[in-house]
Amino acid sequence: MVRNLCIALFVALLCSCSDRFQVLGLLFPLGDVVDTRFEQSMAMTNDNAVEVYNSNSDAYSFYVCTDVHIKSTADRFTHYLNVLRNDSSALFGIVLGDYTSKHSLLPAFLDAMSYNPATQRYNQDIHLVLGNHDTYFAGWDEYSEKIGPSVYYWVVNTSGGKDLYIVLDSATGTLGSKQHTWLRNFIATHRHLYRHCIISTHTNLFYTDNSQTTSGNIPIEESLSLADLFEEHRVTLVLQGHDHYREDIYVGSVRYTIVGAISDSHTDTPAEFLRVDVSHDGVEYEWYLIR
Amino acid sequence: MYLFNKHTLLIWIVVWLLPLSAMAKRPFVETGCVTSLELQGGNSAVWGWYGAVGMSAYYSLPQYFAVQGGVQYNMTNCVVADVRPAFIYHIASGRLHIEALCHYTMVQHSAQSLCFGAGVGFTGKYIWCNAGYYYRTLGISALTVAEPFNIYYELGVNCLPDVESWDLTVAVTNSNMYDLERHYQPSLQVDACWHTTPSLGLLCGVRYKPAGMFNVSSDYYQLSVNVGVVYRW
Repeated sequence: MVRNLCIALFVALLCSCSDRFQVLGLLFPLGDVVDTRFEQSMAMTNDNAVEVYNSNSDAYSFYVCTDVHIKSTADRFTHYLNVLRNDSSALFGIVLGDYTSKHSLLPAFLDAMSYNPATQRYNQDIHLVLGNHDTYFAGWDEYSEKIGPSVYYWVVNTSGGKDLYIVLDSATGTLGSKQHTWLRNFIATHRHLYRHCIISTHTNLFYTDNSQTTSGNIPIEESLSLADLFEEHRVTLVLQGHDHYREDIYVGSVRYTIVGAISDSHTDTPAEFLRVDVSHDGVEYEWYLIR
Repeated sequence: MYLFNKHTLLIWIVVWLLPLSAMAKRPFVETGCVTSLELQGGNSAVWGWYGAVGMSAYYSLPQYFAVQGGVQYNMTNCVVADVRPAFIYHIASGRLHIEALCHYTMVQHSAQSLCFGAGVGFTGKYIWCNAGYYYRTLGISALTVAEPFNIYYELGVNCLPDVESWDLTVAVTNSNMYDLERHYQPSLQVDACWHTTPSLGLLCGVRYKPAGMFNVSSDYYQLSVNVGVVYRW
């Protein structure tokens, strides 16, 4: 008994020394909770759109990838950026969270994301979503300083109407009550002004396969509540990361897509990213695999 | 038409609860009929401050069969119903049971979840535990999303096994009558019951549920307090 207890304590000690996880994060919030991150995000943006894009036509594109998990290289992520930044129809890119796999690697990710005129013709913005790995080791402090808010939105003006893009913070497995309240009010008062509403978040709303059994989704009551909200306000598309494997389902009339990981370290499966073509008719996908 | 919806729910209440009785915090530990009426107040990441009223019942036939069920209405317009019939086998150190479960949740306008499952459990003097598998489908209007694999579990400790008039229990679980969560979403609950008379008891309980544990970045999700009365027939 004592021997087993010592082994358990030793393993716990080893885990606590890891530069990848803070094991105590299983039990307690080790950094700012989501309500605090939300308040800080609102203070950064004053609840205004962070960007307004203008498209000359009714249709445009954007690219999505997720779970970069940088360790030493970011070749696949660089490939994503090169495709995005050589596409004249693409207005912006979205990365759905989990930029690092280790402590102190956020600067390496930001270096990898910077514009390279030698290989990239355009310099589109990349909109970032906070992932759970980005909160480890008080990562929110660095993230908010170097990247900015975790909850924000932007607008695309087209000849056929305006589109609304909302980024939500689900890095710690819930939106929290303040973000929920804001989201309900915001969608209720703004959604009708826009042609499409596209939401990006990190943690999956639905548990649809066992591809990564160790990753958690948001609680079931919150899943149902958000599904109800998104259905009521005709959200067009919900983009998610976190799971590392692709999923594309409809719940009601809302499309929920999980994009697979683009990490260099997941060599057993092809990495992927997604091009989304937006038009008056809705959204169309083109998947890109990187082997 | 689904077996459970807002309209059929009343029928289920009549079928399962009114002729019966009962509430046992510990699974299938009482004998006879017990009914409870509970008020819940709490704070949740989804609803903020909220209140709910729940009614549950437990009915035990001599020796081998018992059923417990409950319905809760949350003022945020959510309804939860749960029914668990069980076969009970007595052993020297306690009771073993095999149970089936059916759990239904409807959230606001149209989102709903329906679960069916089965499990086994043991109830002893000091501890109880039960675990099982359940299958969940959920969706908007229609149940279109199937979850691939879910287990439910409960591990509890009876802190005052030798005190007649008091029950005090602590449990870790992802499954209680009004909440059936995915397996990576446990909650901690502490319940007390003061048996003021042989047939009447007063309940009080506290539950804490975090989110994001398996994100290795947990956060506050829900804290609630239950108070209620238990009547043993």
